[in-house]
Amino acid sequence: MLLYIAKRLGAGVVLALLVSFITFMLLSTSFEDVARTILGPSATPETVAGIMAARGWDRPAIVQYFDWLLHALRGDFGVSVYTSLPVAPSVIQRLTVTLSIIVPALLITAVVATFLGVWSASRGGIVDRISQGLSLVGYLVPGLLLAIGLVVIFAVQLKWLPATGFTPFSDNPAAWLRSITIPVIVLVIGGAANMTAQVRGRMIDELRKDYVRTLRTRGVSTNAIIVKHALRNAGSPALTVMSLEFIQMFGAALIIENVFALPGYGSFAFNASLQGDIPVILGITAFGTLLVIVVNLVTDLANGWLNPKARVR
Amino acid sequence: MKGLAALGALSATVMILAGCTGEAAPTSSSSGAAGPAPDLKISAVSAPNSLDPAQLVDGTQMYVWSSIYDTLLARDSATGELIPNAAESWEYNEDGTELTLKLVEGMTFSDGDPVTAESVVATMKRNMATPGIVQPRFSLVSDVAAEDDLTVKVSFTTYDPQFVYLLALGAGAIGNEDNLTDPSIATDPVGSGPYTLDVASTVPGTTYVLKKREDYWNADAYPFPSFTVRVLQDPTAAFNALQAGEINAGTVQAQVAPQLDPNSFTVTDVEAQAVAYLDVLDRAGDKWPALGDEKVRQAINYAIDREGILNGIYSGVGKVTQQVFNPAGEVYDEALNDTYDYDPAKGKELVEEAGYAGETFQIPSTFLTTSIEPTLSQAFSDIGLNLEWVAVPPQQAQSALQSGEYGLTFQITGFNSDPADAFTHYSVNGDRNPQHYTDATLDELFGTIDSTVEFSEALPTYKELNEYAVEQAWEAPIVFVGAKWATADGVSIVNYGGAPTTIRTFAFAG
Repeated sequence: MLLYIAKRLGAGVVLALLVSFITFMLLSTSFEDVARTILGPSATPETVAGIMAARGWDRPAIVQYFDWLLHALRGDFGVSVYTSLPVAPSVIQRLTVTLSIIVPALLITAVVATFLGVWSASRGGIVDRISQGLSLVGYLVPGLLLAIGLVVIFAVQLKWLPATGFTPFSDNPAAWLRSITIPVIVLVIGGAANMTAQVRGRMIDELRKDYVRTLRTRGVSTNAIIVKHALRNAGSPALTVMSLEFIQMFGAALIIENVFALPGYGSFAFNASLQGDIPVILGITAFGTLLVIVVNLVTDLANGWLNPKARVR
Repeated sequence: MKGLAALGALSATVMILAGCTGEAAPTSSSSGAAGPAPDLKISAVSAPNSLDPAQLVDGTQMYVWSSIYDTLLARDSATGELIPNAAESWEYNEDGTELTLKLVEGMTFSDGDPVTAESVVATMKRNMATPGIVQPRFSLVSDVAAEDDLTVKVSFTTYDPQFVYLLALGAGAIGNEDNLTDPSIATDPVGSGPYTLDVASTVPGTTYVLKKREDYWNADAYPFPSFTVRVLQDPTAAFNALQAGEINAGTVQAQVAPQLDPNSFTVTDVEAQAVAYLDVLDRAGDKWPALGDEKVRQAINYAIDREGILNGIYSGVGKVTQQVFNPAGEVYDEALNDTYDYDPAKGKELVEEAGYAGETFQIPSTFLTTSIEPTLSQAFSDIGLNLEWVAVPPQQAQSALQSGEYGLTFQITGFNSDPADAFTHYSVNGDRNPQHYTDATLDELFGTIDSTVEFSEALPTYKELNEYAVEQAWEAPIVFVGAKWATADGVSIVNYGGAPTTIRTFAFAG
């Protein structure tokens, strides 16, 4: 198991280095453009050269990359070229906001999808059709439309929840809960629709297998078969879907963050890309890559625990 | 939004620069409020890049930084008149090569240090030496010196007609000489303005909370005890925040404005705060000979259905135009708006006459252009020309204009002052003339402008320049872009059109 973890970690490190290198090289062609953007329309070749030299952008790209990497390994990701704010704390702050929404949304999604998926797979009939209908509706309704609708009802009309903004948990837990409620609901509806179908499909396959029939003939109760046997066997692919859902939610979060004006990771990445804020883009890429690596590693470890055969890979 | 970055004000009244002496500091915009003013909470589309005086961007970023820093001069939000602020008076010498500014006595920075002439000198000298967006504003400044504790003398290599207006914008911000070299001023600045940044409550890029300084030298002019600027780029989010009472002032889209409860909100139209136009970059026709031919440029002006664009794309908020100068200013001439009435047939005729039918022009496609691209492509096609839109990433938009690769560009440019707008659009080093076009007539006109210190005396020349520019069709102005402001809680908006976007544009009526 330790060797397995070491291999996965090694692959993760190589991937992180590759991603950061490619990103840096792609961005290195834009240094002059960014200098012109900073200086505005009155930029002259002299002032552009001045700012390039002052920020070290006139050095060879490979030298700059290793300079950046050495600093990054010490936790120094530089400062934003526009705001002068340090990149690492800014990214962590934004990541915290996004995870505040995504983690609860993912947990609720997992519970809802497991319950609905198992229920509809084991009961069938009208329950199954209702579950599938709900999944379809959740899948078809655009998240943006749903978000706007919920804001209009619960924030604008009823004034129960805030329409925009985010309160950190440390500031006020109750206000934090209110600020994430609608975004979480929107993510859960989209995520649960997708995952329920996956869990249902896997459970139907599992419940049709011979060992289940054998267990039934031995008089094992349906609930015990589902919880102790079928669910564990169906859990492995469901976990993979969940990890993909987690990463997908980061994409969905950009829309959610815009609608609710949340200072999250998605909107931060979007604005940095628009401005060409190179240190911020690199920081976001590095943290994003690490996050994906960690999520995949945790998923693989969980799969290995659920299914020992998976560790052989 | 960078395209609207110079949303500054415009000179609505003639400024008597030589010997012009302000007599009093601006007074409160509050009009006999019945009760205490609320906390002002507004939405803005962009956060300030940096709060370092050498990197201050004009436009909506001013809401935050101009509350923290005093500018030497200001613009009257109702009239556009240049008015005293931290400098109680200003005066040019006869040939405009020296500007003397007298500071208000008793001003202090938020850390308690006094504001002196040395503070202004240190800030300006640093701006001149620091690569950044403010640096070019000082291109004609040769020296800045303190004459005494409250008197600053700015010397120029030659008279700069724009300079004094720029002192109401980023170039006029005053930093504390004791901490100008401290990197922390970019995020936690020390200014002498009416508000201080509440760093603990501020989330950079998202929410900026500013607390009023009761010890401010002109505190009565600022009725709001606190000022919160929320960066809400999504118009739906801004509208929801407004309706939910999370902000009490913000711009709204014309389509949704009727949804606001008239008992709670006041909607104020600002008819013109920027100009949307096609800019001919290759005015000499070096790469695209067709654009060097005035008949083709005029044909482009005839091809544009301005009314249709105003109503179809800008929801009727704004005003059609065939010139770029602020309609609230002195240079604007209503008669020029009949020069190129929509007539594609005439345009086609001119293109054929010039011998350029079938010509194709490359033009940058940016976030600013997406909604108007099909309309402009059709307009060109109607007169026998073609547009090829080339996607340009936002961070390359500035470089694209200066690259010489494009003959045309679509822009939305905020108003500054009449002199600054004249230079921006038509002078040899103007931002909107990146290929540095000039001709004998332009040289002569700018020669007169550059040597006439009194704006009222230079005004006929400015008007002549405007007329010449319209006739030469170096640009195809389309509409003046307006805005609908919704305010609540007794807050009102005061903006003649293109006023600098500062807290001064808000008043409290009680």
